Amino acid sequence: MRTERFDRAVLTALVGTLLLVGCGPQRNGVYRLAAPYNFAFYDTHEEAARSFYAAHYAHFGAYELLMDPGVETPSEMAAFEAQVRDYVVDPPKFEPPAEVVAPEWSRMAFETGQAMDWTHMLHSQLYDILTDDRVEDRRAAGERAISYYLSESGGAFSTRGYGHRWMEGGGPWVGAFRDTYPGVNGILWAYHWHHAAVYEALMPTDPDERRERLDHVIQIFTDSVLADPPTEMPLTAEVAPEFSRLFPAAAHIFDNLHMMHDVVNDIMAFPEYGQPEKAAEIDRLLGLMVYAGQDTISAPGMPMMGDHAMSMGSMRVPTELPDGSWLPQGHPDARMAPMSEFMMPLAPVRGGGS
Amino acid sequence: MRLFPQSLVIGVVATGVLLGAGIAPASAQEDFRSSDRDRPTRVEDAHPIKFREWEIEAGARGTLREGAERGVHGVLELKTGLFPNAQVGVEVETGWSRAAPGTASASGLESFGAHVLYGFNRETPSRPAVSLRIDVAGPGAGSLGNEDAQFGVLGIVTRSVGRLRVHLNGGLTTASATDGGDFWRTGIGGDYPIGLFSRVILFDVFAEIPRGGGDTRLWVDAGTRVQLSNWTVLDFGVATRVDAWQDGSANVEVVFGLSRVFGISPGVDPYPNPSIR
Repeated sequence: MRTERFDRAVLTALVGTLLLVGCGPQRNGVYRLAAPYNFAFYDTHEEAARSFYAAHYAHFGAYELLMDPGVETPSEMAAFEAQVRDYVVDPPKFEPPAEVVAPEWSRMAFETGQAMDWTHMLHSQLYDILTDDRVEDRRAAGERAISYYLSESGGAFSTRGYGHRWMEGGGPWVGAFRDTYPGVNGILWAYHWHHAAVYEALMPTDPDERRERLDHVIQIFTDSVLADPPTEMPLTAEVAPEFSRLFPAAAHIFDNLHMMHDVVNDIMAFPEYGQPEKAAEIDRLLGLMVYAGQDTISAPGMPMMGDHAMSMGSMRVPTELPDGSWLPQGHPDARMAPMSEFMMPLAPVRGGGS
Repeated sequence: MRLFPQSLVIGVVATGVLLGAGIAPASAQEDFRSSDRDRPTRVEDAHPIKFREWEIEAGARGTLREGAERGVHGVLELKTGLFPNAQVGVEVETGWSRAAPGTASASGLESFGAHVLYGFNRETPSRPAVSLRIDVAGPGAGSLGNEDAQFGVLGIVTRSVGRLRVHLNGGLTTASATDGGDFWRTGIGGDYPIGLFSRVILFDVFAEIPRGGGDTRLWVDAGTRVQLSNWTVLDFGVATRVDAWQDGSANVEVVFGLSRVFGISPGVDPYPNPSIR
């Protein structure tokens, strides 16, 4: 009799707990596209692969620091910047998960962190495809990886050329991070350059030439780019025109990922937002910048005059070539558009297609 | 006869390692953080494996106490994310044990089982992650094998405090009287990552409480998981069954295992030629 009461009490507690807390958003984790080339870049060029890990730490670490900003935050950010620079020199062995670097932020903005990780996965797979000489048709393999990436349309960034539109015209928080913490922001923009430059270095089909160009990129990155970071957020096609010509959709996906990183930085640093407002605004911006809604979304216009982080090169807009292929925004051979065009909202592309 | 079951345990572990090594590698940088059952602690986390992810795990648990009980227990598990937030797996357990010097040893295939783990929700700022695990295990073979089928249900809750994750497990396993009868399973455990070194320390207290009365079986476990490569994790731990201490002499188990993730290429839709402008 006592056993039965105990059983009922425990079962009731178990079921009650599940019912009370067990209804909510799920993790919805999806595994990367299985392919023989996975981790070819890491296995072939470990130093280059690990060179990105300080950037991942910088992105997510800054978010975590800004969960509850206070008077100590500037000094904490200075110490954090020093730590990031240490990791540039001596990076972690493996890519640190966002939930380890930024546990509180990951719980608050889980879907955004997941979309960023999902896009880092595409970053990694395209590096692998360009590295693995067993891949006979780079375009086909890359487009297959992009297609798989886009199949998770709610967690994949848009393939449209949004450029700098959301980070410059997305809300009242624009510039809050880059104006307050230019040191860390400079490191992050330097890494945006680095991500693209590595793609361009991997474009030759000769492995020796790839290695030589990769070494050169890493040397320039540490000696020059990181020492004197970009003052404008570079677009992938500006830095990697050959890669972007091959995969224009990927170039835009990565630009939109980088822009979302900046957007989240600004929202997290915006002093007028508490955590609920930060969470809601990050979710709103993610919804606007993912692939799922890109055919019906209108992107905001850029602010007037020169108060933005947009280079002259990024004023080259997506351009269709006579053969039906496209050059992404920022490509040196794409059409240069007047500033007035950027000041207008970017209209939706209804009906899909390029 | 005594060598055969030990060979079987070693074989289970070796098979797992070899199977894993022969499969195309895939992502696993965060796998070091998975608190899987017996890898190396008993309490597990509430996160199912990713959709389309596969993982093979092999491990062994050995007990050695001078002049007393000795045993080794091996497990080989294969699991996958069959649906989003839903993990299914099959596992085989085998072992050999001897209660005391001079006594007969027991050995055999303990059980062959399968499980489903479904994640109801992820962690949010206000809620823990919650999942439910259902296990079925068929009878084994040999003197150590279970005589009859067993059925288990387990609720799992994971809640984080900073980088520390705390896991609560609780549920019921039904077993025939021959196999010791029904028992409650309950435990609390945690894991904490060490810097950015892709390793984590784990610890738990775990109990099996006979439903019909009798002595509670109580374990304390501690261990570590280390990311060896982008697809392989090594785990190592020690455990002690507190209720079986004799004259202050602890019985210590040593646990080690390897986990390897991989993928099987799915069908992928044709390139959608997405909008660029």
